[in-house]
Parts: sequence; structure tokens; C-alpha cells
Amino acid sequence: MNPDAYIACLECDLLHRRRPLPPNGVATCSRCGALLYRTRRNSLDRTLAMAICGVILFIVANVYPFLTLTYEGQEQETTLISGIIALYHQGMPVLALLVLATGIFFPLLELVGLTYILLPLKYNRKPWGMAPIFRVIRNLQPWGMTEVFLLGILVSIVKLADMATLVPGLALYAFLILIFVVAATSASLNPDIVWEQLTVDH
Amino acid sequence: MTETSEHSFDEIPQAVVRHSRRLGLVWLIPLVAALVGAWLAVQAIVQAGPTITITFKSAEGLTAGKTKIKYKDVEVGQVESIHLSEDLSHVIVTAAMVKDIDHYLTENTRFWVVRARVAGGEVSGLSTLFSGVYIGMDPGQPGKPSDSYTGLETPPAVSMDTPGSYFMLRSEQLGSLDIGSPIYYRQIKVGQVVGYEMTTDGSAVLIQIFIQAPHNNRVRQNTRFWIASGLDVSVDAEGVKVNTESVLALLIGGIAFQTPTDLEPGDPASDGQSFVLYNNKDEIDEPVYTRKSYFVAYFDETVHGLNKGAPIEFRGIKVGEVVDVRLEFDEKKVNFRIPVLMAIETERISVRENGKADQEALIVKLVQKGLRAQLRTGVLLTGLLYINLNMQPDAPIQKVSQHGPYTVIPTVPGATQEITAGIASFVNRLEKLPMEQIGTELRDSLRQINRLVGSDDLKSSMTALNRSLTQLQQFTTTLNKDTGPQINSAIDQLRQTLEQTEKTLSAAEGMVSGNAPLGYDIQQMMRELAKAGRAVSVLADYLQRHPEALVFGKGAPQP
Repeated sequence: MNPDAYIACLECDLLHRRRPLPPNGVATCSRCGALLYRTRRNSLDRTLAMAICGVILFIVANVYPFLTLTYEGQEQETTLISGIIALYHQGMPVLALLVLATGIFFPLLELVGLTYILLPLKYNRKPWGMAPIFRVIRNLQPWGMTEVFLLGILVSIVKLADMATLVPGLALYAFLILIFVVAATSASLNPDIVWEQLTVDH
Repeated sequence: MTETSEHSFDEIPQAVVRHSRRLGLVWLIPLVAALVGAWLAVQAIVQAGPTITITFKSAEGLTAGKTKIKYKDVEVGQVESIHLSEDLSHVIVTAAMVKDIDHYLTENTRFWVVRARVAGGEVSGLSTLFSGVYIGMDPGQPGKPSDSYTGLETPPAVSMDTPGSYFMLRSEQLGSLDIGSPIYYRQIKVGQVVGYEMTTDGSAVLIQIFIQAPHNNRVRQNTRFWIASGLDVSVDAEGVKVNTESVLALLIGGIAFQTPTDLEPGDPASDGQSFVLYNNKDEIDEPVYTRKSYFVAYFDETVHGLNKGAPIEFRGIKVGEVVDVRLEFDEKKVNFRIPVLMAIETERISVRENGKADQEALIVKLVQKGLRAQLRTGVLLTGLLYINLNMQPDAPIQKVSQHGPYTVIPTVPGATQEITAGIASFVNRLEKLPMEQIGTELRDSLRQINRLVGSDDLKSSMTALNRSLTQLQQFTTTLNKDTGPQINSAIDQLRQTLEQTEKTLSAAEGMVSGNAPLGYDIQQMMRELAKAGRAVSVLADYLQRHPEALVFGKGAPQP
């Protein structure tokens, strides 16, 4: 039996036979109506492109100043890391750790991990430790909260705008684009194309 | 049916499957991102200016990655890192400069930390109170490129591109002057003090000043500088006059200058020329002496009344003052001596012919020619002493010795000591008088007179005299008889003569009478003589009772 020929509903566990979909088609469960799978054109290419783009943006966002705050001639230039370090020094190490993990570490891991898996796959090679790494990436996905982080920054910018002059840095724009790129990466990724590469032991 | 159809389909060749080499449109996104990233990276590398190191004594207020380097308030660099030097004596600041400033980073470029400071009556860098300090930069004159600098501790008072001239002022002390102290010309600020240092021998202070163009042309060869700080209050019949350069100068001090109008304006002073700094405006007419030579004089007599600052005069002209008076005990010789340190302002003495003679050598020569120091009483009433230098060619020749680093000027006894010495020599002479011999001789004389009176010779003489008198009586009787008439006529003549004599005498009497000056003088003389006689008798009495008074003086305690 070809395992790839069947798919189980995530909701009610009813086994279905796969069938090819027309463009923009959606396969749903015949019993509960839950989404089974959908067509994703060039899923691998798109995801990989987005992941690589994300890594580049990530580097830019971390190297360049994020936000320059000028208040009464006093200039405070921040980067992503410096903000977290400031939090740590202000006696909020747990919060700093959380921001570091959700804002920087998990998204970075996801992007790098996807690139690691998808780049060899594109050339029909299987990267080492593909399955556990991919599982970890899939589990990390909900923890990447770059958009929440940015939302927090936007709120503080709005609040500080009246008090001080805020000059957005290059990193802020890079980070803004990064959020969309990360979202696009998640959206275009069809996990099946990874799992399909794995041979099943009988 | 399906089976058969499958079989029949087997005959149809399968399409060749291969991966599409064409890159999908989606790859444009990472490509753009990569291009932008690469461009940013390239720009960062291309735009990167030189990295320089500046050393400071302290990194107070400096923050790595935050402190800016500014020129004319434009950011030209940023501090990258701050670390201590190996010997911990200073800090080394590494700064990344912008590319454009590259050409201006020469050996003449100066850096300093701009902090809020109050100096020279100006408050500067107030903004740094809020924004934190930054490093100021002055490109200076073009020169060799450099990448390591020593930061100034105070901002340069004058930036290199300001036109003007530098001058040196020589002063006895710095007073309230400081870097940045203003310099006034007709009460308008035209420059400032830019630095000061002590002369190598420590005898004066050299103050470097900067005067902006075009006022630097007002400094002439004969221009006089004086310290303008302080209040000049004078009270006279017209009321109270208060004179000051400005309230600012009153508070922080300053220097004013003026070219005397009574003299022909001299040539413009050259850059770096040295001037004397006078203490106040009145003093610019009086010479100020900043060169001093020190000499020592030893005195054996009391120096009571010789204070520090007491004048030293040479033939009545002040040439210096007393700097120090000490008491020294010589253990070997077991005697005391008082070394007095004298500061002689050699500039006061204008030297003819060879103006560059060695002062010390000159003094040595003078000492050999008889230069001596002597204590003199300035005002008898106060008993204040001064030192008089004089040439005494008859003084015993003395070798020139040294007292530490100072040349010793020999001394001669002072005026008081001279008097004491005079009395002592008088007493000495009195002592030498042969009083006993005089007494013996006097007694001998008296004895001889006595013997003469009681002798037989005198009796026989008396008998002879008696006989002679008898004969004389006989002779007179004879004379009465024979020569009487002749005598009468002679007497007549004599009477006439006497009358004339009487007249003459009465005239003479008028001359010597009580009211006449001669008579008075004679009377006076007689009285004096009588007094002298009394005094001698008193002295004689006293000496008879106290012969020792001749040695120990009157009223001295008896041993």
C-alpha cells in the first residue's frame, strides 16, 4: 500500500483516498468537512525563497539601529539586542529571556531550519536529521511572535512620539518586512512535501 | 476491462520528467532582499572612515558606542570602544570617523572632551548636561596624516583658524588669571589667555595670550600689559573714584594693555614677543623687576629691627630687599652668626658697556674691590634697620665664599656697633693713663716746696733783705733832699701823662665793661672754667672713692 495515497482527517480521523486537485482546489473531509489539504503551487520553491529572504532581513534587522530616540539633545540608539539587554539590566531577566526567545531566537531558528531542510530537498537530496528537525520547526512555529513584538514597539512609538523625537532605523523597516516574510513562509509551506520525502519502513 | 486497457496503455511511452531549471518568480523576493542587504553591507564598508585612537586622562562621561565626535557641532565620528592603557595611567578611546573627515585628521588635529564648564567668564557646553559629553575636534593646520592623538584636558581657547597673534607675558605670579581670562583693549575684549607655564628656574610665570586680528596690530614694541582685575578705589578732594575694567574682569581677572601715547608708537610687535605683565595700571610707569640674584651676608651684631622685606640700598638707592633672616650656631667655633639672605634685583642696575656680564662674577669682582654690607638704622625712632651696600676700598680684603648656592657678601660693623667700639677704645685709652705716676710726682713736688719754705737759706735771705731795705731808706732820704725839685717838675710831667693815660683807660673800660660783648664772653668763660674746675674735682673725688670705675664704668656692680 502506498502510504502517500491516503490521508487521515485531522479532526475525525476518517481515512480518505487522495485525489489530485484542480488549481485552487481544496480537499475536505467527507464526514466532518474539515480541511484535508489544498493545492500549493511551487510550495517548496516559495517557502525556500521566503526563508532565505527572511534570513537576510533578519540579519539586517539585527545589525542596523532599530530606533533612535532623541530627547533634549540626549540621543539613544537601540538595536533589537540592546533593547533586550536593557530589559535584563532593568531587573526583568525573565521578560528579557521571553522576548529574546519569541522575538528573535524562535523565528530565526524556524527560518534557518526551513532553509536547511528545503534547500537540499530542492536538489533532491535529503538533509541529515530531516524528520526531527522538521518536527521541531513545526512545533516552534506558534512560538515565533515577531508580530506581537512589533505591535509592542508600535504602541511604544505612538506613546513616546509626543515626548521625544523618534527616528526609525533601517532595522525597523527590515523587521516590518520580516513579519510578512515569516507569515508568507508559513503560508506557502506544505508540510506534505517534506513528509513525502521520507520513506516508510515496512 | 481495466486490465486490458492498462495493457494497451503500456505501449504508450512515458513522458520524460525532469526538474524545471527555470527559477520561479518567487525567487525575486529573496534576490531583492539579498541585493539590498549586500548594498547596505558594501555601503557600510565604503563609507567607513578611518579609526583613530585618542588618549585621555579619564573617560569621565564617555560611553563606548554612544559618545560622538563633533566639529562645529556636526557629527564626524563616534566612540567605538574605551579601554585603559597598560599602565592604567590614562584611557585609550577608539573612535570611528566618517570618511569625509579623513583629510583633516592630521598631526595638528586636536581633540578634547566637551563638558559643561565655567571658565574665563564663559559658560560652555551647557547642552552636554542633558545630552552627555561629546568629543570636540579642531582640524588645525594641514599636516602629516595621523591616527593616534593625545586628547586635551581643557578645550583649546582659540581654534586654529582664528586669525591673530600670540604673545608671551612675564609676570611674578599668576594671580587670578586662568586659561580663558579675557584681554581688554580700551575695555573691549580682544583676546584671551591661552596658557601659562613657569620659567625653568621658577622665578617667574610666562603667560601665553592670544589677541585676535585686527587688534593684534595694536600691540607695539612699547605696549604695556597690566592685570586688569581688581578694583581701583581712590579717595581725594573730588570724591571717591572707583576704577575697574569691567565687572567680569573684577570677578575673574583679566589683562588690559595700552600703548603709551606719549611715546612714538613703536613698530608692531612680532608674533610670540615677550612683554612684562604689570600688577596694575599705575605700575606701568614703574619698572618691574623679575630677575633676582640672591646673596648672603653674615652679621655678628644684633639684627633687631631687620625684617623680611627690609630694603637693601646701595649709596641710598634701593637695589633689593631682605628675603630671610636666620640664626646659626657654629659648634666648632662656639659662636653665633646671622646669615641674611638678600634678593638683589639686578635689573635695577643698568650696566654700561657690556650689558651681558655675568652677574655673579661681577659681584665677586665688586667684593674684591671692597663691596661690603652694613646694617644701618633707617628711622631712629622705630629702630628699623636696612642693609647698606657700599664700596669701602680700605676694608680688609676678604675672600668670596659661598653659603650653599649663594655668594657671600662680607660685612662691616654697623653704625651702632661703631659707637660701641668708639666708647670701648676711649675707655681703653683712659685705662692706659699713668694715674699712679702722676700722683707720686705731684707729692714729690709738694714735699720739695715744703722743704724750701723751712730752710736756713730762706732766713739769711730775709736778713739780707732787711739790710737792703735800710739802705734803700737812706737812699730815699738823700733823694728827697737833692733831687726833690727835679722830681717835682718830673711829677708834673708825669701827671699830664697820667691824665692822658686815664682818658685812654676810660675808653678801654668802655670796651670791657659788663655790658660789652667782650666782657660778657670773658665772664662766661670764667663761669665755664669754674664749672670745669668743679667737675674735675667731682671726678677726682669719685675716682678716689671708686678707682675701679675707670675700668667697669660708673655704677657697675662691684665684684
